[in-house]
Amino acid sequence: MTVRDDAWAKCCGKAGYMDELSFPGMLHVMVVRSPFPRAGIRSVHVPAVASGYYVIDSTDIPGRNICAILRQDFPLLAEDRVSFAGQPILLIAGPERGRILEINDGIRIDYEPEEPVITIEDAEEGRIPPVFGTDNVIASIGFERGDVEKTFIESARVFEDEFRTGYQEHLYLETLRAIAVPEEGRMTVYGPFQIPDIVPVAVSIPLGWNTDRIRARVTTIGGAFGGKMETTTQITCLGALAAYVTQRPCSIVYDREEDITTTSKRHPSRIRIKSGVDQNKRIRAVKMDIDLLGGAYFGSSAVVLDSSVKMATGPYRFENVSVRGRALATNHIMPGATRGFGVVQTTFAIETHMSRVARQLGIDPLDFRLGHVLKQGDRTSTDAVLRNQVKIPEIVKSVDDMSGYRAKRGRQAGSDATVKKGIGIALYSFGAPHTVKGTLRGRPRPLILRRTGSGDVVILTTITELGQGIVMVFREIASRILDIPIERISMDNPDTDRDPSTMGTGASLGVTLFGKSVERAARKLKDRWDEPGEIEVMEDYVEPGYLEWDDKRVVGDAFHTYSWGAVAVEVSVDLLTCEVQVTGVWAAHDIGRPIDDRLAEGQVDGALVQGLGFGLMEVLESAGGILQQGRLRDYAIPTMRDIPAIRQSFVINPYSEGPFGAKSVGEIPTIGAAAALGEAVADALGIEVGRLPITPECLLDLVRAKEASS
Amino acid sequence: MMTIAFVVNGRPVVLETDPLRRLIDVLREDLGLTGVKEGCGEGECGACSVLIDERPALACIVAVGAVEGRHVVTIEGYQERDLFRKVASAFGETGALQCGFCTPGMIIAAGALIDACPDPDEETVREALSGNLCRCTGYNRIVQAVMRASRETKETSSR
Amino acid sequence: MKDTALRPRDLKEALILRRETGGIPYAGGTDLMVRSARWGTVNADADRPVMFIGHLEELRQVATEPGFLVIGACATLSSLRDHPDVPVLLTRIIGSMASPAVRNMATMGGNVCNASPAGDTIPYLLAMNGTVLCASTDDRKEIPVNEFISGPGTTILAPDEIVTGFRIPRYQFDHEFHKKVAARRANALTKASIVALARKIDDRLVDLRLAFGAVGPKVLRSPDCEQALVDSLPGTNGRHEREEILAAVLKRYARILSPIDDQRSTADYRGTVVIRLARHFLKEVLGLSYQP
Repeated sequence: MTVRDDAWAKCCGKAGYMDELSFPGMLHVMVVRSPFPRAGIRSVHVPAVASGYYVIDSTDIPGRNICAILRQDFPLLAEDRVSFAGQPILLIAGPERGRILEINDGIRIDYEPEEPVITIEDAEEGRIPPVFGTDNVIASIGFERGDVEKTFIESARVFEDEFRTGYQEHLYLETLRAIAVPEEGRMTVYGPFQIPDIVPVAVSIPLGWNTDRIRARVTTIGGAFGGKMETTTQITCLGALAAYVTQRPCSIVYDREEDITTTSKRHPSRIRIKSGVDQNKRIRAVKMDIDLLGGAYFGSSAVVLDSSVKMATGPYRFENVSVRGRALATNHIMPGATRGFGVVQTTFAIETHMSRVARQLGIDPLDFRLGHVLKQGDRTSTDAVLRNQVKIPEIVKSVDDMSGYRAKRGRQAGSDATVKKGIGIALYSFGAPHTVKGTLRGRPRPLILRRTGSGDVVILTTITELGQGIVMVFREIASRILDIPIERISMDNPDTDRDPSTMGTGASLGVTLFGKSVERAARKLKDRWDEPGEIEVMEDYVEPGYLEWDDKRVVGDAFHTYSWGAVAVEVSVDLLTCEVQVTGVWAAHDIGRPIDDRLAEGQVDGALVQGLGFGLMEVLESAGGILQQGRLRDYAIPTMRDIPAIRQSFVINPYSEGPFGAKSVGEIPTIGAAAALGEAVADALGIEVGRLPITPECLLDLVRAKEASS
Repeated sequence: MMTIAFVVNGRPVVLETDPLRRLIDVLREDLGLTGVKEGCGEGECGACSVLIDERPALACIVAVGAVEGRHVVTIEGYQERDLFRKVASAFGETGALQCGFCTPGMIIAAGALIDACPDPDEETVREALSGNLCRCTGYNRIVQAVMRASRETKETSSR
Repeated sequence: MKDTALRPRDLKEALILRRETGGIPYAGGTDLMVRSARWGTVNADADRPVMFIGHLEELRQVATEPGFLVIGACATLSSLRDHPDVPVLLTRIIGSMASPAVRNMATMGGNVCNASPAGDTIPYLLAMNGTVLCASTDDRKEIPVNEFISGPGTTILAPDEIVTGFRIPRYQFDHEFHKKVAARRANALTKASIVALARKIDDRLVDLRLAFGAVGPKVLRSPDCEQALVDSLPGTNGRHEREEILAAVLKRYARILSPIDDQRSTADYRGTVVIRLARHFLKEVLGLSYQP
């Protein structure tokens, strides 16, 4: 294990973050935003501004007024109407923040507020005029295997549940920011871009330029978690517009409240599950209806929904399955990619449902779930054959050994009248990488290994380092193949002028898909090592030929392979206040064979805590379309005191197509923590929670109901 | 405007400025000390931790006028200390950092703890660093790194 | 008066400046700066200057007087937490506030003058019958804390006065209970809180005080309810009878609470939880074991 090369610079706060960057004559840019979730704009009054200050509106956009995400339906600056609170309407640019604020205070915008679509129910009922299309359906996808309705009729018992989950803010510590610098007919944009490749394309649309006039340079990223993917296009396009109008370098920095209330987050969800159980107490049929609460525009909801639906049934095999998913538009910000990618919500739902069914059947919830777990050779819900060994039993054994789950379960109620202890476990799986045939669609995504004249090796790619350590992993892979010290291999923050367009970092693609490209490129480079001078080897990813996908029927290999995991969570619940304290966390994962144990463990630790925060305390609610917990004092994420020491292990199960047997690790550990937490609360109190986060407010209602009935 | 004299990283500084400016802005913009990170601007995340008269404080909720005559140490000054080297090495070797945005503040808080309490138990570490948020690491390895640095500091000083 | 601030050398000068300018006292700044900051600029008040007083030694002292503890308004929370003369209960309350770095700056003067119903030191002061010490150039006043605080965010501090400290009776209780309910275990603002104190002589309840935070516009204490419990309980023998008295008083408490829904919690939760906590405390004090 090597100390990561950026450790010292990061300890000193000088690792090349955006906030170290400044340009002569740089202007600050403030975004003037709508206070209403839905309104017509009657008029905009802008006071006279001093020389050197600019107020920019949609008429200043030289190209098309579009902020491109997956579709081109989102205006960069609102024209005659706004569709979510916080939607950008104007920009104010100038050298001094105080003066910009004075200009802002002098701007008068006359709105005509309209009734907003707020909830999933609002969106589907159609009482309020739709926000999106004619029915608010941003995207829908579904499939059926076997005959679900017929099986329900034949079932001995049928169980139905509804689950709800809330928003989760990514809460990267470095808020979104961008700097745009106009120079000689080109525009260079700097930012913490997770996917630099999309930036020149996005910026080219409002500027009306060819993409080759735009250069995206990635700065060291202060955390992302999916929140710096599509989300960066808006701030960057706004910065570029300001720079175009003012012909000066322009900097936009979202403050924390702006970042929480106006940028993407995890989709809230409503998930309904119905299952039919036969005489032998086995689930024979499952029907899942997944509704994700989307924003006012297309955004990236369709992609998140895609994963929700394809991974909906978790690590289980059901003969008859029907899954239907919708993303519904509301007058809110657009939720988007968030670590765990739509599978956190469905995992909570399926795990909690399975455990409830087990309890009602009088079966141990863990044994019941283990009895339904997928095995090698089984077919997944999308009918993909599981070619590799499924080591869920080994994973569960490891968690049980560490946690004492089976010994503790149901036996910790204790004599303390005001504090109850409980333990829960969740099983889960995450498909990654997406197959190109299934979701990614085909286009070249190359990376380059260059050996310089002096014998050092440079990795050129737009894969980005978010803190997860991908640079270390790529260097490690190249170092092992080339058999040269890791210190002689380097990989810098991406620059779209210099690097081939690989695709950036997201969706757990980095290690398995592009790490393999590094491996293959390194092998080719090694074969040519004796050639004199500089050598470049370019490699594209290769998708195993056996993968099949039928998009129309939603059948086949949605993913290359799957990572698997289990987590046990122990809690103590204060019966007086219904506060839940996490007192133990134990997890085991099959991520193939990790390239670097310490980096992989770091991913697991962080993801578990992010998942626990989601399950326990991260409340972000809309009241009439306005997000209420916009400030960090109100949006609580776990501190060091809220989380105990975490113990974990890896169950080694090398994946033949991954570099040195590695599979993806970035997202999977996020997805089971909340489900395990719910199970722990159920163990402690005998109360089942169908809603996340499990706040004391929500738990108190359930506890009182139970007290009243006993 | 007001004339404010204080000491930053051991060097006297005299500024003619608005005394209500946030210390973080003066440090970052006037003095170029960009190791002081802004994560929230309201004293909730700890990324802007500095030492004021050797005790951790949050530069985003201090007015520069309030530090008249006082000693401010940012990560740029702190990194000259032996303790920084020990803590930073422990962070690197333990894997206690990922994106790194919280790390300078975390190290200032950790160092202040080790100075005040040479052999902290885990609970003490968690309490002392509870104002420093990290979204990447889940804190596990940060706690390990601080315990490791404190052990190493103790061994060096008892030698 | 923007862009200006005052920096008196001592309390005497501070009082003169306060009288002349109405300057806004800045002690630790941890609330003032958050409240006044907007998009990276700070503007406390367009018409009045800010007056830094956190450095004034006269205001940073902790002193014991016969029967009393006097805490300077500008003593930092950290210094109070570490001070040998500060009662354990108060140090525990301080330990539940904000984070270590904020406590290194924040003061009890700031916490009280903010007059938030969720201010963590206020229930303690109220339960202890603590007073607020105010000074002007020609007067000294001592005001009970709940008279000093007139509503959410407002006090009766006169425009020429400065809070110099707090006077707290040194009085022993047999039962002391504090609970702060918040979204997480550290660095969190209070959703609701309770400070409960009881003294018994020969198993008879002689002194009882319950102060509730964040369940009304001001921190709440009801001498009537407290007295009702003290008066009625000693004469009652039966457990059932005592339970009934307790239930009746808790009902009275529930009626006088006026919690609100906001971004941190709900009125229902706040109101219910403080009553549950009060019941738990009182049952323990009265020897009635708690049944959830």
